[in-house]
Amino acid sequence: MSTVYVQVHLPITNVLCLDMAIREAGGTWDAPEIIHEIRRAKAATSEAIGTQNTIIANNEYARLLQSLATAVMPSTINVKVEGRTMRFTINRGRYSLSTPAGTQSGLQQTVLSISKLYDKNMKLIENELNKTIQTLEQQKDILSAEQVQSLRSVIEGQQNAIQSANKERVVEVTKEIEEKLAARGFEIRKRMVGKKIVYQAVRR
Amino acid sequence: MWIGHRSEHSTIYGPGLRYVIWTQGCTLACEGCWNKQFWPKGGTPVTIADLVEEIRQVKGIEGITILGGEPLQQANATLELIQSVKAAGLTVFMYTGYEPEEFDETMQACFDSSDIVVTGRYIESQRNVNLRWRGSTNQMVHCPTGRYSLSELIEQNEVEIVVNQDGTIELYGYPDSEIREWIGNQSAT
Repeated sequence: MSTVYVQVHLPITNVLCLDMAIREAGGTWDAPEIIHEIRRAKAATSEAIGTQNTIIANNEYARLLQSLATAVMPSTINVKVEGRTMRFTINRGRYSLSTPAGTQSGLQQTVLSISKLYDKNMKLIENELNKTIQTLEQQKDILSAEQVQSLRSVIEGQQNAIQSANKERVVEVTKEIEEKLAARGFEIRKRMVGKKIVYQAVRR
Repeated sequence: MWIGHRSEHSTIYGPGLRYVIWTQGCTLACEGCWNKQFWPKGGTPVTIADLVEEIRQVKGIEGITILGGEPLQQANATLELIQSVKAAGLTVFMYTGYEPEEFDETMQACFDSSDIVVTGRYIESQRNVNLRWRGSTNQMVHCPTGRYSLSELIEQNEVEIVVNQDGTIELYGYPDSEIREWIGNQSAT
């Protein structure tokens, strides 16, 4: 028999979106305190009445997001979805878990659905921010618009960080693969299939 | 047909670049099987027409490889797949845990229509990672159609590692325990 084995990952760069995605998938996780604070602050932005209160709520939300950008995330997290608890460990900017490929556990499907919700939430946050900026600009509240612009730049920075983290991870992983296989006496053929890198390793 | 997993491009399950299909469901329960996740019934249901259309869209492949699970426990669907794929000009490599003497008529037709077939249970005590295309020394390679020849079979240890765009890794083939352990540890380091 041959092995079929894949790694599954949860994005980490924008932990807020990860939090939203896990909850939207009907799951829970041992989120750090700052996530709980952000949940409350975000709720406050939609509950605020009047321009002044909206500005205050948005400023607090932005402040917490700024803090989140530099906060140290836990090295392991436990995600519980549909009665299944999955323990993820930080690995190069992602929460990772190794699992055999296939459909028996359903784990990959669960993680994939969370990842899709994550992507959707990233877009949702962008849209929300754009909408907020438009609203505030209509009110000619330049200072508040600048604050929200700052908030948006935090998100954009995090999106860029995701792409950079992916690229960095690919570089590190491929380097390790090549070293490990060569050390075990494998001849390596490397090719690109679409955007994937495929190593065929042969040892006679 | 019930499918457990698919890979659009692989070079280690047969000659050339191949589309690989892991069928879902196997009752043979070989001791030491590495793909126990494909034992239970279930998986993703696909029609042969949809699957063949999907395969036809993949450019540059020489053929398909069907493994599992146990393809011959869905022999009617497997036969339809084999015949459709061959009609599209592709070659077929099939794995089965059954021995030829265990075949019924449909299973025999699957065997006869395939270009390469590996037969026999995986026997852990006869495990050998230096065999090409198979995991234990009792398993036999056949070339029923004459499209390929056994003289092309060079015994070697083969592993395929796919690095996805987001840095995730997929491992296929016949890795030794050190490589499997290393891939596993990737998530813990």
